[in-house]
Amino acid sequence: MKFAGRWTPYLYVLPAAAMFGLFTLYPIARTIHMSVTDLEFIQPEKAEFVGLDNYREALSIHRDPSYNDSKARLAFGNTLRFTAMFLPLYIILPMPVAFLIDRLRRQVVMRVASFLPVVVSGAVVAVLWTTLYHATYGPLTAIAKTMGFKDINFLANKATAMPSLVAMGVWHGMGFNVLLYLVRLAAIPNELYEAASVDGANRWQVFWGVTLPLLRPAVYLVTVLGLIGSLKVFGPMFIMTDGGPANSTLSLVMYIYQTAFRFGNLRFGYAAAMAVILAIVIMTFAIASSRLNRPVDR
Amino acid sequence: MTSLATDIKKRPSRLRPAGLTPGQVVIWVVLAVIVLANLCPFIWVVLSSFKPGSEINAERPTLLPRKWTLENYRNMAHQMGGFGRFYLNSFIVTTATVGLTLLVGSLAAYGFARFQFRGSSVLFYTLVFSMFLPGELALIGRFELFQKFRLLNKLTGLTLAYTASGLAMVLFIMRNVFRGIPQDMIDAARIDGCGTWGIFWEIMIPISKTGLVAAAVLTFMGAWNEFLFAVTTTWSEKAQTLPVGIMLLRGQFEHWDYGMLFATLMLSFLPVMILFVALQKHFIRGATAGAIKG
Repeated sequence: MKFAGRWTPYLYVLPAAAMFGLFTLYPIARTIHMSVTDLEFIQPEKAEFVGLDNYREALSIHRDPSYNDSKARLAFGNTLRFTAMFLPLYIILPMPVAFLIDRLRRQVVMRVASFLPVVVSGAVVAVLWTTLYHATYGPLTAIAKTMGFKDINFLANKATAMPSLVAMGVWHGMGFNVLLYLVRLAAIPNELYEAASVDGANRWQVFWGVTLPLLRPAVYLVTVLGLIGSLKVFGPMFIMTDGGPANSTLSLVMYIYQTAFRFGNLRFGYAAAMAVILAIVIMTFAIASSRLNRPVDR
Repeated sequence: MTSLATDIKKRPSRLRPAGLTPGQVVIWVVLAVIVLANLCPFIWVVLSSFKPGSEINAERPTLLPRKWTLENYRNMAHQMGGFGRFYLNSFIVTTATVGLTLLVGSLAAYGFARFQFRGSSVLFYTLVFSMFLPGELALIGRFELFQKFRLLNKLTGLTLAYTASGLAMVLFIMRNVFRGIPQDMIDAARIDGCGTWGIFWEIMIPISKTGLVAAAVLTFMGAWNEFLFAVTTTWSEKAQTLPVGIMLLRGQFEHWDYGMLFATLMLSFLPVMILFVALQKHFIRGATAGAIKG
């Protein structure tokens, strides 16, 4: 008797393959297809093939400069600005916390406490922080006022809006990175520390010579995850500032959303092109990181 | 990427002497201060939810309520403004997503882990590769597809989309888990007359509880927190989930009852936190297993 028929494995894989094909693969293919047309949601029958015009428009390299989209440029710029502020804090701030927890004999309480914000959904966190930043009733506003900043309105001011979103994002992601660092720190073999102390290294030297180099894979992971996450940032601005003031917090994904679902003729084709550009950027980082990470991580 | 070897191991050390040394106490105190400061936003919400309207709308916000009251919660019980419905929707979508993803994902993982078949590696790597694709890429295509299938503004639609997005992750985790199960056990079951289906349910699933829980936690977090797709494809109370709902409620409460917003926020994060503390080991294992996702 044959244990498994020729088609048995296919039957196990079939439901997953079907769902994946229908609800992920096809939509992705369709998005890419749309990106080379001028499809608009309100009049889909008029859609025509336009080649790479949408891409040219989004990247401001259109033959006819009047097509170049300054709002897309702004959204790209804002997203990069968010990333530039977010990423260093996101990588560095959790480190001291992780180092301290790593030195504890019983870590569970601190691990759980520092992880708590991570389990709360981004939307809830965004609404929560809106109350912290509230112009009249917000405690952060009150603190800023006692420090001498008069008439401060964190989310409505061009200078403070983006940093306020960054602060929230860093706070929300902290616990997760503390955990990633801790996992890595715990994997550092004791022999290395013992060898270092036998060699007479002081704490500082141990930190620079042993801990930090061995933490590198985790730093790497945090960097890549943080980079990808911040390039995709949407919720905070959508909920807290609606892209304002004066589009200064309009992120790329938020602009994609507005183009496709909110403003004008709902230009699906153009929004799709921007989504493809975002995906290409993200994929590049993801693939590059998996290549680079391999020799370091065992 | 070893499957789930992400538990934080205790490491006995000569550098870490037993007992509560002064050094340990200092670290505890410093950490307590940091962690408490970190949790301040939640503390603020909890305390504010017990303040009467007059204190919430005061010129100078205070941390502790001068007069403790359940007014905000009472008001909420009377006029939920859809909060109960949002919660229920989130619960239904998340439960259905976790159930469906685990079932479909483990079945496929079993197929990939235990059988050699034509096209298996191409299919597997296509699925795994898709993990790294940002969901934003599928968004617009899915919207169009859902419109054709009449899945927009429906809990079924959200469930199917979240399942399709979460599948690859579950598949990846579970294939590794299934591969680690010794061949002897399967051979023994086979001699006892078990078919592939029997082996899946009687051996693979019961033995892989840890992996399944990690996969479940990950899928749970993804579905419970998802925002972009929910906000684009749902527009009425019957299908809106909590992340979308909380945003709408903020808009409502901001103008007529700010105090209720704190009660709403508190009820939005507290259950998940309690769940997390109760299942912290699994949560943390699942979360770190998911870190490999791009």
